[in-house]
Amino acid sequence: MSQSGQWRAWTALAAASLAGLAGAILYWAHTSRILREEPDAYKIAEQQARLAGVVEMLPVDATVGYISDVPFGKADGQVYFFVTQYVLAPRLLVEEKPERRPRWVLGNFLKRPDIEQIEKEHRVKLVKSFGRGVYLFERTP
Amino acid sequence: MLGLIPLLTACLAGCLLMRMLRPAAGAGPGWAASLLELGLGIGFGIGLSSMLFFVLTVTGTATAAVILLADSALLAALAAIWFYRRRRRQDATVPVPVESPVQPVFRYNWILAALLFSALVIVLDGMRNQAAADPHGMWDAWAIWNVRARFLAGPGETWRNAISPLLERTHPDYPLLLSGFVARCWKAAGDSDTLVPIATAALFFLATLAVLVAALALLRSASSGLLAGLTVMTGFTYVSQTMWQYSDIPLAYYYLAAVALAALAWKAEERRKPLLLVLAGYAAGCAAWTKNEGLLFAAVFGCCYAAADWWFSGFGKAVRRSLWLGAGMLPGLILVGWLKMLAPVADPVVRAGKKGIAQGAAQSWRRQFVWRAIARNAGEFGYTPATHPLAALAVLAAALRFSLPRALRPAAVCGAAVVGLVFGGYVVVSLGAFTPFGRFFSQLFPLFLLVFFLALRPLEELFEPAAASATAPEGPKKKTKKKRSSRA
Repeated sequence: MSQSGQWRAWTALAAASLAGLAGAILYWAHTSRILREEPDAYKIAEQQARLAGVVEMLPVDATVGYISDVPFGKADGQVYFFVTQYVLAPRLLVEEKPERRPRWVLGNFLKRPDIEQIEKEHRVKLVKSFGRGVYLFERTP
Repeated sequence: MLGLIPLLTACLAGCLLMRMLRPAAGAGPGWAASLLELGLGIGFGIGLSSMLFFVLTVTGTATAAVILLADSALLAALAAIWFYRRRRRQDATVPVPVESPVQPVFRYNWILAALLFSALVIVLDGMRNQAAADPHGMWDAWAIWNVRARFLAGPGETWRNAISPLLERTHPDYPLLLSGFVARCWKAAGDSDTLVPIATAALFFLATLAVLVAALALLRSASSGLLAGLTVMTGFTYVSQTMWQYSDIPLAYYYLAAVALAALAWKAEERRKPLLLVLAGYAAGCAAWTKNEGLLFAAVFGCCYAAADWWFSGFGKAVRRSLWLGAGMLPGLILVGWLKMLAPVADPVVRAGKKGIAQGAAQSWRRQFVWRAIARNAGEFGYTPATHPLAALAVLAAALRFSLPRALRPAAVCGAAVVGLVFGGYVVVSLGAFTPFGRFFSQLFPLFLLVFFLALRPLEELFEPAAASATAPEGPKKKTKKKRSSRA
């Protein structure tokens, strides 16, 4: 191999090796920033604390209806629903629909809800308010 | 913490099994063969225990005691067989020599190894940061993979929630390798410690790196393996997604393992081929048991292997060897079939069907949307343009050039065809139901690196030409016309 070819190969080798090392350092810097500035992006730990009372109260094999004032069509509504499902599992969380009326219904609200109207509309009775917008209802016969 | 015990026993069982089977014995340097066994052992052990857990769960026998008992029995049996075989080899009057061909060594490989080790330590610390920031992983981890693990790990019949038609937006028909494995560890430990999915994700990343470096060291050269390992670190999207705890990184592992084992099979002597092909098929089956994309991979890989082997070795051999490959795929494919019968159809691609894809392909805005997503995600794959994997690969290709020995042609052709066709499949289905390309790129990244570095001229040939020519009878410049049946 010619002298210039060897130099070219050495340069490429150094560049590729340093790119690998630089990639690792940049990734580390990125994750350090995430840890410092935006840990727990979806606030799962907060939701676990918020829903701890419900988790304790509901049987593990329950199917639980879900009502909320944050519509599922919005990204926030999806986050609330899926995080709640994750925290409640192995219980199954389902959206309340006319054809689907499980015995237990979880209310997950950002604003203070009108409990009486919910009870009338969904034919449920409030079992307990856990505070911070979390309510557990039971379906009335 | 207790969840780490069943995790480690699964990996240990896989490693013992690989140690017994010795898939790379005599194929190259001893350190590379051991590293390959370690890398394969981790992923294959996880795959096997996930499959067994699903069977135990569906049959209603998955309890902590049964899982731990099964693990102990499997480990004891594997250890006993290993010791017995070792002792028999020692007592044998005529020892069977397992000689590795002496390979030329680039004298500065130790620098590459030191750089790779340094980069790995930094990346692992970054992963620790990421896991500390988001211990439950990112969106799909808690909305799909880990939530299904919690269903499967629950008491009584709660496992049925993982495949319930009521699980409308959590894809109850998605395969269960990752969720099943995490659930198995949680069930045995009796809790749902986030350490289990975090450690599983890290293990898949490390196993991928081990298989990539080792396979290239065995097939091409140690420097090729080490350079490929360093290039992995430039894949920002790939490295970041490890701690997202999605199924894409395990899937990438199984893609890589399947093609690497098939490549080793092409290079191996005839009597070792069945074992390597069964293992390659098993990896492809595990890919199908990991994610729906794995089903596409298994089909494409099977066809590409058969076609390449027919082209390079002849029809008869290709049929026989493809049957070995297919036999290896069976456990994964059977389980996927079983799951698809139990669960409702929920995959957006399947629901969109041919009609959805045809509609998407007919709409120019949809095509542009997909192309723009490909370009954007490809650009973002490296953290900066200067540290983008494509930049590093382009510099290496320009300086070292490609040179493919004839013995590696079937593997390189098959691997390149698999990468191209699977990616083509992803593009087609994205026209019907869009899926982020960042994850598709991550799934194919290690396999792409394997194919690239198989074809790239190794440093040993450039800097140690005398040693390389002495050990490589089929030089890249040698031009001879051979019959089609003897192309390999």
